[in-house]
Amino acid sequence: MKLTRRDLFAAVGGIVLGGAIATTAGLSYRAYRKGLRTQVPKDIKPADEGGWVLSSNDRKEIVAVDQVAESKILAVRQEVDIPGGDYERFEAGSLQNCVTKCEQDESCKAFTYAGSRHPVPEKRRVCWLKGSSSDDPVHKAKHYVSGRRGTW
Amino acid sequence: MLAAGGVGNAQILLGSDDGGAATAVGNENDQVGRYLSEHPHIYNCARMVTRADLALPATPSDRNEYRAAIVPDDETVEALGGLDLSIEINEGKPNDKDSVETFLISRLAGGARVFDLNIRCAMPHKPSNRVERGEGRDPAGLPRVKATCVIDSDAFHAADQCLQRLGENLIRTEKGRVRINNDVLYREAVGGGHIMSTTRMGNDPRTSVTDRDCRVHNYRNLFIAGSSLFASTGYANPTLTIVALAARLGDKLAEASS
Repeated sequence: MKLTRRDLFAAVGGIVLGGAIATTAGLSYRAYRKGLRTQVPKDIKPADEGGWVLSSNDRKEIVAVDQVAESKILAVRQEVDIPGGDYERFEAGSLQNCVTKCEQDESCKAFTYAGSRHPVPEKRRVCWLKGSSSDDPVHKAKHYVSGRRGTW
Repeated sequence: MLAAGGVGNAQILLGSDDGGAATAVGNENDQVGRYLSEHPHIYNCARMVTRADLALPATPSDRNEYRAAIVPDDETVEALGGLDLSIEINEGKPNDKDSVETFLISRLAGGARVFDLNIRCAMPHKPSNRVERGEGRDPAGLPRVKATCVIDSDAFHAADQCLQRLGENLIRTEKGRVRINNDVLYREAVGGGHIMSTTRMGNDPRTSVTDRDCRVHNYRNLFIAGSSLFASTGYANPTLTIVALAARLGDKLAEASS
């Protein structure tokens, strides 16, 4: 079969027209999705922090509670999990609360704290106090902070 | 005059074809028993933390059985699909096991109050929710009835959206925060024990049983009283409306007889 110049023009025209239709449809869909997104007020995210309807500022402040921990007794390390040896588990609310509780309890030899962005909501901001029988620490454990009385 | 309650009115009408009549009285358009409705009640489906100085309705101290509630404004009701609901507020104690709540309380200068929230909700009318004749007879000799009453997603979605709006308003005004417990909201609704709308009133005999004067369509001398008349259910207890409709009907009958 021999292709004529006319067939060639028709094929190119078809591709251009098809592309234009697809682009228009894509842009329309993107505008529609954008419209849906803008119906949600900017500063307010859907509830996902245990169901709390929070502002983005709330979220920043909640995450900030994982960052600061001052202790003269415990050596604190980020991204470390100490498995086992738990004798108490409680909702600390902040890393500092976890550190303070461990400091005040002579039997607390170490602690592990799960951060505000832990993928399991029930573990977020939970503190585990540990006696002397804990296992070796696991490093590069994202979302966890651990501390030990004395040195590591 | 038929005044036998939300189920009884429909039950008596549905049983009226026992004598071999072609159709039960008032049921020429297969409307008797349809639109069976309840009041979905969803207890402890949300939590609210507010500033201590936020003005909220209070329960009168001598009326323990009453509960304070907040209701959406007309604009919000329209946005919720026209479904009426109320949010009952019960003051509680801080939950120190919820670290976000603890954080939010600690941040509210001047003190905080916490509340458990209950939703009481209207139910959209669906013709598939209905009372029908069942098998056998009850001890009073009336035909037994069976009921189908499904609370569909419109009611749950309205409750969810209303709580979300409440939460957003509290953020905008910096007066507090709301927590929505979806597990409870979508799984633990119960009925308020108010059975309504099984012989609802309306202008069109194809979609209702009685007219606006509580008279059964096409029957000159048959009237109905009770919650079975309700053309919409609202969220509030039905008794006051039942009494008002009965008083109105009484006036009309007295007027007609004189």
